[in-house]
Amino acid sequence: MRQWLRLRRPLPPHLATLLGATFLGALFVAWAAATGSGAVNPLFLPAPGAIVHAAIEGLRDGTLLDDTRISLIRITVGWLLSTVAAIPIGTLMGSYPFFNALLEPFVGFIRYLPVPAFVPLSILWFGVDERQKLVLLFIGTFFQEVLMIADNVRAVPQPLLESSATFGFGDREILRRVIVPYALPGMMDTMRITLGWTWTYLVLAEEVAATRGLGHTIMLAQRYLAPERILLGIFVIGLLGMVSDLLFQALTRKLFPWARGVRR
Amino acid sequence: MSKAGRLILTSLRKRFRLADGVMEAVAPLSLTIEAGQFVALVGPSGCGKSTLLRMVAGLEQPDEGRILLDGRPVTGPGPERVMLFQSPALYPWLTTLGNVTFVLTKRIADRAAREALARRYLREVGLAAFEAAYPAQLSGGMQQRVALARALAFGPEVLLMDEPFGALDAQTRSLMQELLLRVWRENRTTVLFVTHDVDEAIFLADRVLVMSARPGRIIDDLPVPLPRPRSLDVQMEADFLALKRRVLTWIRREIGL
Ligand SMILES: Nc1ncnc2c1ncn2[C@@H]1O[C@H](COP(=O)(O)OP(=O)(O)OP(=O)(O)O)[C@@H](O)[C@H]1O
Ligand SMILES: [Mg+2]
Repeated sequence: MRQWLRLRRPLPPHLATLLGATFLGALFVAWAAATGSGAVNPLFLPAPGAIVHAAIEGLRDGTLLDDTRISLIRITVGWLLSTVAAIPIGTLMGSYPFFNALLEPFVGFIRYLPVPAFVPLSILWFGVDERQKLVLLFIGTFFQEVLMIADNVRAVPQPLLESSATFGFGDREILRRVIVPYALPGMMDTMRITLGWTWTYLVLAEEVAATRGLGHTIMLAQRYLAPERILLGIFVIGLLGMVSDLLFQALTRKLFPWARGVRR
Repeated sequence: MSKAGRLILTSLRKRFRLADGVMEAVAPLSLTIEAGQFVALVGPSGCGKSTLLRMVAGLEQPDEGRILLDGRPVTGPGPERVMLFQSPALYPWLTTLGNVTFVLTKRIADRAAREALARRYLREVGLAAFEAAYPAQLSGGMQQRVALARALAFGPEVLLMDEPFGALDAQTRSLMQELLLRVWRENRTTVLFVTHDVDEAIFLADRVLVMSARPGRIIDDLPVPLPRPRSLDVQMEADFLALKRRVLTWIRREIGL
């Protein structure tokens, strides 16, 4: 046991998987025991079986896949809009103190505003159509993401830039051919992390005037006191988030085999 | 062909603004380095050696004075003055070979010629077998050797080296010193070489400059008349030891011992 509790000592992969699975399994057993023994009111915490039931029902009437598809599209588009804006703007902020001085106070201000405070404004501006939902996802994601991208860019070591300059590379060339390639794996990490944040704003975005979507279903289930459908929605969101995270990590390892052990 | 690489530094001065006032790093300093000369620069820690080198590289602007390279004023970094840092500064996404050929794109248009030249210098630094490895897979000393191969293959008029061998073990270090001398003799590059190691300075250089404690001035300028090519045994000879004693005396005095 002691040998697995050393500072930063890597675990064998199968042990790492086992540990994670054990914790989840233990949680599940505790949950099943608590609900099965009748110790908790199923209104507060439904039994695992009730959720499986809700899932089967959702699959049968098609609402589950429909909601998932709608939400996935919203998340993807909202996150893409944010990322497509954050990468160039963050790169400029991290490379040129000029752009950082120009934009940082603004970004820093918006960043601390609670996204729910934008719900009324977003309705005022865009009504209740799809744009209003995307704007909320964008606001929740972009202002964090752009600062993280700027940090990824600042992680490029100064000697690397200076050395390149003495070999005759100009500023623009260094930006394009040194800073960007160096920062890419770090940017991938940022994209992965911020995708998770986009998911956390889904319920908020689908709160108003949505007719479908996982977040909308969760809100609806609350109104009709159907806790198993709330939990089902939560599980699906968690699962999709986890899968996207793993895919991103695998993609990063595949695209940037050199990045292991490099500071980003 | 007329030799290029003559450096003239005139009344060069550098101050850094700190929270509690200004700090003078380099006092007014004048110096001429002939084309193809190998000059070593020694002095106590923090005396302004790196700052001086960075000004010649164009990475730092002097507050006063000016730097001329073959009559042209130095205003910023440029490919005729390559700097080799204490840290290897390699491109982590490029292989060992790629790190060398990447900078060579500035000098050689033909790809095959670039690769041939890069391979030649990687062989010289003993890394031929590692041309496909990424920097993260190399040890610190190996990375520094890639950086050396890269700078030597590039073949600038002036090579600015800031303690480039500080992180190498004794054996590799003397191999790299010999390699540097061999390439320098072939290419007749002007070298300005900062080191803490007085033996290294005398062994390599035509001329050893001793800097004072901060703000850095040149307090001694010693020609090294030892014949070339020099073997390692030269370090045991009386002339060498006399030079060494003189440099060490200066440095001890400047440190305040
Ligand atoms: N960017 C900077 N801002 C403020 N002070 C600086 C800066 N760069 C260097 N200095 C100061 O200038 C002085 C000279 O620094 P420099 O790095 O040139 O010394 P050095 O002779 O190379 O020392 P060492 O042998 O330890 O490398 C030091 O006191 C240092 O603190
Ligand atoms: Mg230094």
